[in-house]
Amino acid sequence: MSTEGLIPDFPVLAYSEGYTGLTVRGSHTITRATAANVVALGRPCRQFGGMMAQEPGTFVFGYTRTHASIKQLRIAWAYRSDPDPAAGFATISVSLTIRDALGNAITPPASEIPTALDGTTYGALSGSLSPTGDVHLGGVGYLDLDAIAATLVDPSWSFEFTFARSATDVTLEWIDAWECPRTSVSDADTYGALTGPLNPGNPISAGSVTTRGYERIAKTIEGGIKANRTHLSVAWPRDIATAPSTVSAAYAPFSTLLESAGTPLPWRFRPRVVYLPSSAVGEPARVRYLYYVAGGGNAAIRLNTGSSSDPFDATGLSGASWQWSPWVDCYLPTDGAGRIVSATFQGKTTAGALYLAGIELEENQ
Amino acid sequence: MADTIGRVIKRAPAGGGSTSDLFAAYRALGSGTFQAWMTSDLNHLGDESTYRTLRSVPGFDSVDQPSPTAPAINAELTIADFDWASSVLAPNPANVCLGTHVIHRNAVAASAWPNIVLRARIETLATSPFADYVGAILVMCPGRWRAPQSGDAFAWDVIPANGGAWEDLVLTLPMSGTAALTDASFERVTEYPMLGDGGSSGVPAIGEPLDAFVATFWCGFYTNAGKSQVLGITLATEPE
Repeated sequence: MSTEGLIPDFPVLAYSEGYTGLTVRGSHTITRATAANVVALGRPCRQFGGMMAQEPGTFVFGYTRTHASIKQLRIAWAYRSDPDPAAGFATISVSLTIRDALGNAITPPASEIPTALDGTTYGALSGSLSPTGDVHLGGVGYLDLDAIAATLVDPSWSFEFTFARSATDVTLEWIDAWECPRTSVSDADTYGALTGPLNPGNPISAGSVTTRGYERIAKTIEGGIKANRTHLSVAWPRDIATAPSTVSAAYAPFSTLLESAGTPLPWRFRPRVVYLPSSAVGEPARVRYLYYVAGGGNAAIRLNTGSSSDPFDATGLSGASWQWSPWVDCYLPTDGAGRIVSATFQGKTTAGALYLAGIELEENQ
Repeated sequence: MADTIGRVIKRAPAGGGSTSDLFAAYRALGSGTFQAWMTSDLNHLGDESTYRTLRSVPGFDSVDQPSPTAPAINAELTIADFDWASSVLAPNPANVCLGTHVIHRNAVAASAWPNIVLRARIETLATSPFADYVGAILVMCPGRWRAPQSGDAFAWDVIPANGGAWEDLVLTLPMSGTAALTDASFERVTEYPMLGDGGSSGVPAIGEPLDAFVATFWCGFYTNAGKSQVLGITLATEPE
């Protein structure tokens, strides 16, 4: 195995380096290998942590890894400390359990889960009464995605955070998770083109997808195409007392996800163009939901994105327990002003109530 | 935008071995042709690699607290005009941390940073359009887990009352102009991670170093009269 360092600043490429009739040189090849490494490894885009500041409870985020050459996930959480010493020595803890769609689980204590997320209790008493000075880092942990994938063999993972405290003035401010940009390239990974073998003086070759040359660069560009974005990652407390809900028998906005009766709230974001600029259908994506159906109903959740292929329905949802829906393929149009997409969510159920505690909407190239 | 046709050219997967595998040995394409295709693809993917959604949060279905400084409707707002105490505890000011994020330089202009854009839907106040408004701010704090402080980069807006209609809210920290983001808007972070470590009895494995420019983002809102809502908040890096 050979490795090289990677700086994720993109080298802008010029056509003039490769005019027809000119010989391809090592420098041409090196800049293209570097650019391919940046887009495949240096700028991963999967993240989660969309939540509001919270009282104690459980919050669940869906996550799928960009691809196997992205190795580390960084998770941090922060809290507001208790400014009142009279209340006693306040404490706080956050515990993480990771599951996959097949029911496999990693639960603390486990070597894969950092101490900062294993439910260890920390002191949370502030020495400051400043409203902006009492935000504290609770902990930072790095997850080895290869180690987790060895147990969680299904790629659709679920991160369950349980927040507990000893005093009422301590609040969980945020959970923050994102994939780490790679700082090295290895020929042992699926993607990544070493530039050393491309040095001037060495032959320029097609090579292979696993070793060197243009085949390896082309393979690494495929990794850049698969660097899918997380467009929406949102979690509400996993609690039917507070989660957005609907009891409607026809598609209707969820409570707290509406502007007015019958008008669902649009979430606005900008999709990436890979193959389809200015397309009314749009680029491929997929969505899943963390849901709960009370009262024996058969429920469904509808996504509209403005695509000419709208709507995208997750149907056949049932069961009085929190669970993820199957993935639903959808499309994000790329022909809107500024390429901004407006995504709305509505639900219905034949009986009882449908609750929603999580949305994971991601690009799916 | 970099020199590109603006999309990736579809082709057979690398290593496929078919005659459509343009990069295999002995294929008929000239060096210039396939260099041009690869250049366009990479410039396009590089362009797009700067831009992504950073965070999405539900927002506030009750924005009803006033500013601690009570600025006039025509005042230029500052970070100090917003209440940054916990939104969970009374009196429930409307603010939320949008997380700490790695931001990558613009792929084309290597010294520039992308626009950082907050989008949301806001319910305007139903009262007087000449006196009542919602104040909105997006703050960018260099580094990790920091709360807003004087001197941080920020973008703000005043949304006048408009009969309770819902409107788009867009706050932009710009990549160009006099308020453009600079390297000082970020903290360059180098961390040497231990992977996992809970439950192990030995020395934890050391991971690959993280070396990145990061910042922490907050948004805040207040009203000077009545109740508003700010929902469907997204934060993203976007082109100019």
